[in-house]
Amino acid sequence: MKRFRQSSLVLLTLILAIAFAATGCSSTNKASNGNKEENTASSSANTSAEPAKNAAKALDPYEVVMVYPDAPQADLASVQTGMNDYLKQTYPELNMTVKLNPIDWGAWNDKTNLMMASNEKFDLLFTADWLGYNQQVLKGGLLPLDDLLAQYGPDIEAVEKDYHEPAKRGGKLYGIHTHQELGGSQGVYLDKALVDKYNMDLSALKSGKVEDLEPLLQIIKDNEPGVTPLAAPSFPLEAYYSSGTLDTISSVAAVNTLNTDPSSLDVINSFETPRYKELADLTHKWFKAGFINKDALTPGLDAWKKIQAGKAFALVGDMEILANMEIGSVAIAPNASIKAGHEMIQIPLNVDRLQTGKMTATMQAISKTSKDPARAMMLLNLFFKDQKLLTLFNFGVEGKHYVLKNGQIALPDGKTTNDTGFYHDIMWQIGNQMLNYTREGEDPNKYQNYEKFNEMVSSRPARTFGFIFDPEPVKNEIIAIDNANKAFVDGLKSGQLDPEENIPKLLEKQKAAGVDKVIAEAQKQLDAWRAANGK
Amino acid sequence: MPVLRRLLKHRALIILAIPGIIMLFINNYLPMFGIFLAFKDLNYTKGVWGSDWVGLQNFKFLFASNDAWMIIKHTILYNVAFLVINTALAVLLAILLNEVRRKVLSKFFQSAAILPNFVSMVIVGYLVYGFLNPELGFINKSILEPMGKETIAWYAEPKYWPYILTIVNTWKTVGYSAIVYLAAIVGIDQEYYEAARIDGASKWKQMTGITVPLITPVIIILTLLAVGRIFNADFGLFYQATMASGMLKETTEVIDTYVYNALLVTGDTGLASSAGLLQSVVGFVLVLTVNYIVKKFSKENALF
Amino acid sequence: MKTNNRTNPFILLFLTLFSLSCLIPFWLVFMVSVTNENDLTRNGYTFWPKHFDWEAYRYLIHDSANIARAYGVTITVTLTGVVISLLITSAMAYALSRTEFPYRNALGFYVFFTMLFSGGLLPWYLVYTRFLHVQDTLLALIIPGLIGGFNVFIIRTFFTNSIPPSLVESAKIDGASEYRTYFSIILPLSLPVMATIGLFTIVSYWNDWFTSLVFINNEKLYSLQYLLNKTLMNASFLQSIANKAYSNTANVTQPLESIRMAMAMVAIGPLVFVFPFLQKYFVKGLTVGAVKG
Repeated sequence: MKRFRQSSLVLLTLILAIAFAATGCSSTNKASNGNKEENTASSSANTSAEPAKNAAKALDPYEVVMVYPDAPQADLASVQTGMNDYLKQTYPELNMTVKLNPIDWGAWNDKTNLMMASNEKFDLLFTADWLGYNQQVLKGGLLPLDDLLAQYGPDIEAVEKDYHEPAKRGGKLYGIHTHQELGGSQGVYLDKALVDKYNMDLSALKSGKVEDLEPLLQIIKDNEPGVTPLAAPSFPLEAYYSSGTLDTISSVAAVNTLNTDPSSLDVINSFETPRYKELADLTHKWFKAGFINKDALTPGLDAWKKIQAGKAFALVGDMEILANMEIGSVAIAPNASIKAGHEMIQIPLNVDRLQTGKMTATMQAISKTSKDPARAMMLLNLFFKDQKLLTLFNFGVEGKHYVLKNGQIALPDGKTTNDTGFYHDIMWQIGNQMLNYTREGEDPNKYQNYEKFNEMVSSRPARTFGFIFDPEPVKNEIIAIDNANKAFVDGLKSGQLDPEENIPKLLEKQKAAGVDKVIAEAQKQLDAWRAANGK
Repeated sequence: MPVLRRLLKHRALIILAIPGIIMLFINNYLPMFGIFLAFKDLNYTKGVWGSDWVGLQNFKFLFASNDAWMIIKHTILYNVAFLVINTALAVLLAILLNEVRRKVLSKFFQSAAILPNFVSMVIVGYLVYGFLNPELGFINKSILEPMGKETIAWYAEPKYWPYILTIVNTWKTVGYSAIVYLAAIVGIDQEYYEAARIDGASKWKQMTGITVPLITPVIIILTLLAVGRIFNADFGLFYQATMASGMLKETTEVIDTYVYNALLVTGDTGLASSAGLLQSVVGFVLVLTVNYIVKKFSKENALF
Repeated sequence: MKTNNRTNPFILLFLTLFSLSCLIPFWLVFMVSVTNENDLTRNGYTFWPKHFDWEAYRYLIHDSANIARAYGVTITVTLTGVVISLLITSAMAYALSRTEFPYRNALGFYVFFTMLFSGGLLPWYLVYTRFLHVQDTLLALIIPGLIGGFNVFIIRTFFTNSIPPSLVESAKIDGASEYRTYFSIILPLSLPVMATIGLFTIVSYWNDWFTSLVFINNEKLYSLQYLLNKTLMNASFLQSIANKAYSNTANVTQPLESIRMAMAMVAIGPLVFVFPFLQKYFVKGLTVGAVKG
């Protein structure tokens, strides 16, 4: 007993010591932690203008921290070293190094918010409208880039000059769009073996109408038990509907472009158009006929797995950008065939017009906590002109993480994507994508196809291209409408809910949630924009 | 200086409490300044203190939806149901576990009971899906189809979900509470039971007359603590187990899932802090009330 | 004790059924983890797969160095955390349980308040990174879990209810200090509740991934749950934004279903062995009667 008592006193002292150590002696901890990224002055934005002006003279060494979402790469350090060696060799006058700071997707929102809110020092940040770009600007996390771009971004301007408008907030630019495809295309994928087996006639799809898929689905339904004719969760009522017939503004507010006067900018509710009803009826009919899988709405369900397992025939979704993207053109889709494990045909039914939203879907921004925004912009500019740097960032170190075979990127012999140490597909996050190599198995002309496709898209700008909606005045209504939508939209687009009965219910709920206010606000802002831009 | 003298007199107890006081201070009280964020429009450049006050602006979104009352009602009703069912079952389970004489068996049962608590809600979601998958799930494929009944599109039918969620919640948490009650039962002085047996009291009598009254303080404390969180729903349960299916909203939408969606739509983190504050205030008022009542009956079982 | 050693068969039946309901899902998780992916797409979950496929585990073995290190982190954090936590928590609960302690109510309120109100993620993060500077250290994983109001109150309730005040009184008369009373009388008497709370603390340290997410950038210090959860979180995040992001943008393949389940098995496995070990304290906990007698 006595011994126990003594040791217990020792223990108590120990807890107290730990508790005090944790509170009092934080400085010692700090020292032992390698003391990185501390001492962030919130005033950095102002002081940083200085070195920028002196850029022409000798620059002080500077480390540009790049924050972007990515899965962890085992060999990140060696790629970073590779990039730094290359920068030192090729651009000694810039006197800069990079620090790669990838963050897991699942942690992205929490971490970037905390980093910005706690004024942590970093420079380049990947951002997008779907990753809170508006809030980042609104909360003062990003720097306006107009002047920096004019001074240090000639190679960015060379390719992106015409596409800055959508990323402007309050007249200032906060994000630089990655140069890549300017839109997408939606259509159907079909299992080639089954198309051949039943000698299907695909010419009807030249209409661009998803309705004309029906006879094909019927053939499968009648003759191939166990095969789902149309595998979801990709539905006609998603991008195919919205891109094909609407200029979406925000939430449910949109301009209907189907059968309306091309100069009209009347804002309507996207759930009230005749086309929405048509497609909802169609989907419901297909669902009842057993054309669509019942588990279509399961989160995480990958329709490609069904195709792969030979359990599905067709898929409505985003097309690969190939040489010929005319509506109704039939072609073998290389990537889809790889995913499916057998040959797949793709038929585009719609091609995006140039939309404001797409231009803010992939951007790089500069953090307000950057100590030297000019240098950050210089680095960003390099990603728009230097293929070697891009290749290092996207594919790693030559010989170690990839080898070049016939001008394409291939894995080193005996390596797989799992053990090569550095393998990711985030070309769309930064720089001029058109400078990249293609991977083995891809169309070597991929980027020529992109350029051609871009001409097609940019020749047809949306009526509202360049208009930016400010959601702040109707934020609460948008939340409420979204809430009302959730209960119906999934059910309608998967065909499980009867549109006759449920669309009116949905519209009523939206009304109660304040849809009229949102549409009126959108109309007001759109009219003001039109007046200002003389459209 | 009577305060000082009292402090000195009880210095031993104070010293014992001090590590805990400090830890709570660091982990919980220092960050409390964040409560102000609920009334502010946070701007990173201006910082937490410099940001503008916006009054109750951040709270508006909670009531913007005409479903606000339905959502609050769901939150409370689910919590009450969970509390009642969980407590009753856990106490019963604990008593039964205590009746098992064979040590090996007892260990086995106890281990099994606590297992579900180790599984993350994401996995629970998949498991539920394994049963309810409309095409391949056990219930549709192995029960309803062989019986010749119409299969059910579980994730599109809100009416079943109050039961499903209650079952899942009970399955996941009852073992945990049962272990607490078991620890209480194990601590009961055997003399009481021996005296009762000598008096010829039946097992049932012993249970209602000795076991339950003696573990009542534990029941009270667990209930009190649960009352404080009556406005907070288990997000994982309502989000993961339902596979976030929108069509189930009519019966499964709770405050926490609503706030989560609002965050997704707007990306505005200020919304979460105001919702959290409101939940805390409601819980706080409720606990103060219940604690006051408890105090009237048994002083030592009150929280404070 | 001369009571019969046979347990009521109805009780056994009930408990067996209950245990099965708890165990079957684990069986299912395991079986899915060794099911061929194509079979899963065709047939859904089954209790006995048509084709066994250990691909998921092979995939995890690829990452075995990281997983082993994460085990090390988690075990270190859990063991350190649980020992310190039990000491701090029970010491505080003891002070709270003494009726003659004058600041009992105030202290009770102090503890309780933290259970309801919190400043939110950002201020909490600032305290740990700007004030304590423990980010990217194991301390960041340990400190946040050290004390929780819930555990304090549970232990306090046990102290008040299963330890008669007379016992403390008599110890005092014998000249024992508060420390001695606490360590040599109260604690040994409270083994069942200490084991219970200890178990809960172990579980919460073990299952914790969020502190890793927030404070740890150095992947060598990732906890096991974070390492494994990351994959699931990445997938579910990408799903949640799937409608907003342009599909070609965030086109990330889902981890195979069998891999998700295999990860769950890897994460739960070792904990299953901890519990039976702790269980001896449930049985061994001395009863007050035994001490008195």
